[in-house]
Amino acid sequence: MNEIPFPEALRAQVLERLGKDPPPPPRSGARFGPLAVALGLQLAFGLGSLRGNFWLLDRRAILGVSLSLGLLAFATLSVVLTPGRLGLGATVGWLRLLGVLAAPLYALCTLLWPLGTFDKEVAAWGCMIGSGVLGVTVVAGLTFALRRAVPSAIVARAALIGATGGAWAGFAMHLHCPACDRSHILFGHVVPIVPLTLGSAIVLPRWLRP
Amino acid sequence: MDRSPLDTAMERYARGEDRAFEEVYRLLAPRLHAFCFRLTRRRSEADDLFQEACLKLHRSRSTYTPNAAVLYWAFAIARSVHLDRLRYRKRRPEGVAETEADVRTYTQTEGPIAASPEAQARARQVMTLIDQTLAGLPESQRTAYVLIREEGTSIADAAEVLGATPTAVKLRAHRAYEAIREALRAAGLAPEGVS
Repeated sequence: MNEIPFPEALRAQVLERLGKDPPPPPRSGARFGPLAVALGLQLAFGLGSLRGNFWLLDRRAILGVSLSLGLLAFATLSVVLTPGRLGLGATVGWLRLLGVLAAPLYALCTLLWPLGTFDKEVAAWGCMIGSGVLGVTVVAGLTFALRRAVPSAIVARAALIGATGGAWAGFAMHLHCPACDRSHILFGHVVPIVPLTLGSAIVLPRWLRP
Repeated sequence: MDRSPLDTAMERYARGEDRAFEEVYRLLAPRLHAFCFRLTRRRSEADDLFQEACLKLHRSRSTYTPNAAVLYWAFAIARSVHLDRLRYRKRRPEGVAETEADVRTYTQTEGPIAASPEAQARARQVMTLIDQTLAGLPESQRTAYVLIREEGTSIADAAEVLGATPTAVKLRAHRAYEAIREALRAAGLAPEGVS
């Protein structure tokens, strides 16, 4: 195969452009600070305002669901942050799989596993807004941590960032909200994961790509 | 794992040692520029893409993961920039005037291709046809072909660069091979034994 002669004159132009460029973003320690704060916020919210009926419900069911949702939240987070063989990120298959399955898995854990009943009616829209706000903090933290760091599989990674935000917010909301009604859980806890995932896939790539 | 001099230089550069850029550039630039040229097929565009990729690489150097292969990381950055430029051009189509010098392809580059003048002429014909066929293919197929066939990248590494599964990359490259084979056959340039 013929090699294309490399234009040495480009070097001066590249150096000139680099000289005008602002300093690069902070290194990993500082990059992950906001993410740590956002995740801490989820746990503080969930555990700090633990649902009143947590210990009154069937112990096995509530612990099983909580553990499953916690695992889902950690799984999405670890896949979204895992570097691949080339440092470009986890295999695209995993990114797509978890991005697509986060909401259905959350629904499976919470809707197919009845926790009992709760007499008071809790408005779903309150949880929906709460989940959205909590999810956005995680999405913002992850975006800051990964900004300019994802040169390939950008949309898949962006979608999983949104799904991760939704999964963490859903986990926190599950610990906080006492409602056991399926329609409340569906609209208040599960549904917010979908717009977070889709919205992130659309909005975030511009910040993630180098 | 043995680290290449380029990987070591990039690690120093990522740690903030600005002087290491000289070495990174010396070791990376020719391959990266060739890749940019293969993506764009136009010399002036390749130069622009190369400069932009270098700038992005500089800006995101603190995100470089130690032990990652710098070359493929840089390829992924260049391809990401290339896609951005394609999208921009799609939104704002403007006539890009192609000059004879600009549309230099591999076939017009210097260097010995074959021994006899007839063989040289045939080789140039084949390569021109390959270039033309590649130009008509979707970007994903063209880049898969360029990475695997022309850059000699493994399917797994190409999949990482393209952000696709190895199966999808294999399929894209295969479609590109098929298109090229078909074009060569139609032009009567297919090697003997290839039907």
